[in-house]
Amino acid sequence: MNIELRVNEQDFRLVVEPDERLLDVLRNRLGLIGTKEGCGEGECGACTILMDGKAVNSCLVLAAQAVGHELMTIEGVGDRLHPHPLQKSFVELGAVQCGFCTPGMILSAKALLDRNSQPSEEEIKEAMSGNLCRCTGYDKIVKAVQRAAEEVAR
Amino acid sequence: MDYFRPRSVEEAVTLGQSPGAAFLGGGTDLVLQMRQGKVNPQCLIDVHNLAELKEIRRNGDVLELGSMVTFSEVSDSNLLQDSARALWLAGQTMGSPAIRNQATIGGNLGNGSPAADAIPALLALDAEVCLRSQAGEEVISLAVFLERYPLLAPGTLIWKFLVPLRGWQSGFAKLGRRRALAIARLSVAVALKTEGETVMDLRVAFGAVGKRAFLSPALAARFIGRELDVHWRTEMISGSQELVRETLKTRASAPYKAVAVGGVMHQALMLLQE
Amino acid sequence: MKKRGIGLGCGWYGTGYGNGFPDVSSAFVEIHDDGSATVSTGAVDVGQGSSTVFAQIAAEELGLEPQDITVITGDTDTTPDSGTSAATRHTYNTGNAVLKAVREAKERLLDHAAHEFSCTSAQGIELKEGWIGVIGDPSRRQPLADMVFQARLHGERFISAESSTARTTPVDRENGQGAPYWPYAFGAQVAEVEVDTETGLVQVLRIIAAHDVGRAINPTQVEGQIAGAVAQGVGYALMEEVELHEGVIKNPAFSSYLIPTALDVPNIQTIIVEEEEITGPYGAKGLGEPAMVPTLAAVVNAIYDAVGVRITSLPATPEKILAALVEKERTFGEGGMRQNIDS
Ligand code: FES
Ligand code: FES
Repeated sequence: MNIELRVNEQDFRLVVEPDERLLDVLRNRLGLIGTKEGCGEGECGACTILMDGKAVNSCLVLAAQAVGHELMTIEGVGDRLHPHPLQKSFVELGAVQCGFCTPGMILSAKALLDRNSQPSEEEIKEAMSGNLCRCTGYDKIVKAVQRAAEEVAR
Repeated sequence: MDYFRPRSVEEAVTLGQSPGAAFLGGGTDLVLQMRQGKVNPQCLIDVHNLAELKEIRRNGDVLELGSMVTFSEVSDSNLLQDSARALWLAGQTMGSPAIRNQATIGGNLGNGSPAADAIPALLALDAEVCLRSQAGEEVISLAVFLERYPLLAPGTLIWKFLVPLRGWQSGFAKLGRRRALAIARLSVAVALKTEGETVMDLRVAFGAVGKRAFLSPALAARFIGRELDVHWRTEMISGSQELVRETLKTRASAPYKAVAVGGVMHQALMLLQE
Repeated sequence: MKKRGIGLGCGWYGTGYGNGFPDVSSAFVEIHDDGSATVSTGAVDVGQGSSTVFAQIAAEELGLEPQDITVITGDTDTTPDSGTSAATRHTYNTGNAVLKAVREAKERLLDHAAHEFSCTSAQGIELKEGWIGVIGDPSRRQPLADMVFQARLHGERFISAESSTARTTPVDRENGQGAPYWPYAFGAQVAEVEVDTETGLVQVLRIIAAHDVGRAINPTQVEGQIAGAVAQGVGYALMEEVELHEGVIKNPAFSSYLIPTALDVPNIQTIIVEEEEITGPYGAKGLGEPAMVPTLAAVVNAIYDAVGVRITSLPATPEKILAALVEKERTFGEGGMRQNIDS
């Protein structure tokens, strides 16, 4: 089927299968491989993207369902030259180890900060609770979100 | 496979007649089941964004909840926090934030999992389900509906839930293996009406004890007309333990759940609104 | 009812492959004529930060910044074998190989410089902040880049290849003697938990983890390794279990093999203990796995402190805890449940 997706403020015309997952379309058809597949069953959050500003698991959403929504992947958050405060703080505080969970973590954190610029530690943990990390113990991730929140507030 | 996005409930129901049609809500269960090959619909009818199905509103003394209301919308709703607290609590503990943003209460029912988080809450709140099909509308009490096998006839759309607003208090608690992303191993929802200290009416529902969530009128009957005091609570806790022990009989999970349900009941009672 | 308890866990851990198995790491180093250097090694950084550690080691030795070092890893076409990223061995073993290789290339450079500065021995030459010069004589120095560039024109190259082997022996099966591992890592942790006596659920509230790392080459990464290990330890202690049935894993998915979420991991306070390991690079030794060991004991001991039951198989699931509590109540009567008779 023909669809149009709006990803990172750009429009794409695509031909997809009706049962094709958004995750696969982002990665395989649009080359946006920052979005990861960890489990493919909604249990890890590595595939988290924003749909109309809300975090969703792109492994559980069909590409067809995303039509008409504003999508954001990690590629749209910032880049090496213009990192988002979250990307900066994650790097500076050592919140990235293997990095597999990181894109999903950043997007969940962004969804949080966009609606609550001064979250408590508990609110941060709650917002990130669908994003598993096997490396960091979450400690530095939570601190990086706190640091970014301070920076955004400034 | 075909994919349709109808613009109205009528259109959805008409499309629902196509062979192998399945209604698609948030997709958090269906997309996964399709991928695992557990279901193979030939035609997907995406009703997730139908405005008619997304309403949370008060209509006199009834709360109307569209089937495509997401768990995030449930847990963000002040109206539900005040008037359907059990459901509001269930909305908060389900899955993860990302799942809650997609998953819907109608989908939670349609998927038919014994551990569905919203169902015990809706049972305790005495919800009715409104169904739509080519045959027309049907309004049926959720407790009765849950006795149907299979749950839904082909082409039947879960349209909305009607929750009576009777000024009851309600609470919900669940037991999972961890503090997020946890499938309910046991859940309890309680709704009650008091006059002074006396319990005038009571509904108690359990999830993940057996094939489907259920209401226990027999348990509730023992506690109506009595004073809501520490004895009431203690007996309610042991009553729920007996009930679960009898329901699960020799199942492997029985020894644990029959004890632990006491703790879950305790918590659900503590979470009753003031 | 929710009850709190505190438990202590201590651990020691032999790092490296051990038991006399050849535990060899290698590195190539080249100092370039732009004042930078390259380190090549097979050691793969899987997120623990080994590449950063190698850059720090090379930079320290050459008087440069870590950004000046290019670390090339894990390419069998170009990098020398350094074994697996496992057994808590890269900081120590590959770190040693990198340090040896850097020192070797540096020695050639210093010899060359001594000659250029008309010094009798390389011992009078130092590398500092991107400069090379005679110790104590600021007038006789030049940028490292210039020195290497000029040397290059004269056909000098500052390259090296080195290996480092951790020395261990198999254990004698008869008498249990031998030196099966080197070095050993030590740690101690304290856990505070809350146990729900009605459901058997445990929440770990806090962990304090003290670990001897020899020398923390990168303290931020050390903290990250400790926190990550503690989180795995909490999972190991409370929920993680590979279910096998006739050799087949029954729970090979994140939906059935559960690991802790951000809400399940407590606040972690790390204490870095620096007790120099003289055979390690700058006194450093490994930390990856050892930091997980004490967590298990600390959590299980804290459960005991809280409710007085000993859980002797992992994970300490709510089922096991509740069954033990019921058993205890049966044995000691109602009071056994209420008061912690053992503590
Ligand atoms: S890949 Fe989507 S949640 Fe794991
Ligand atoms: S950094 Fe490796 S999973 Fe999070």
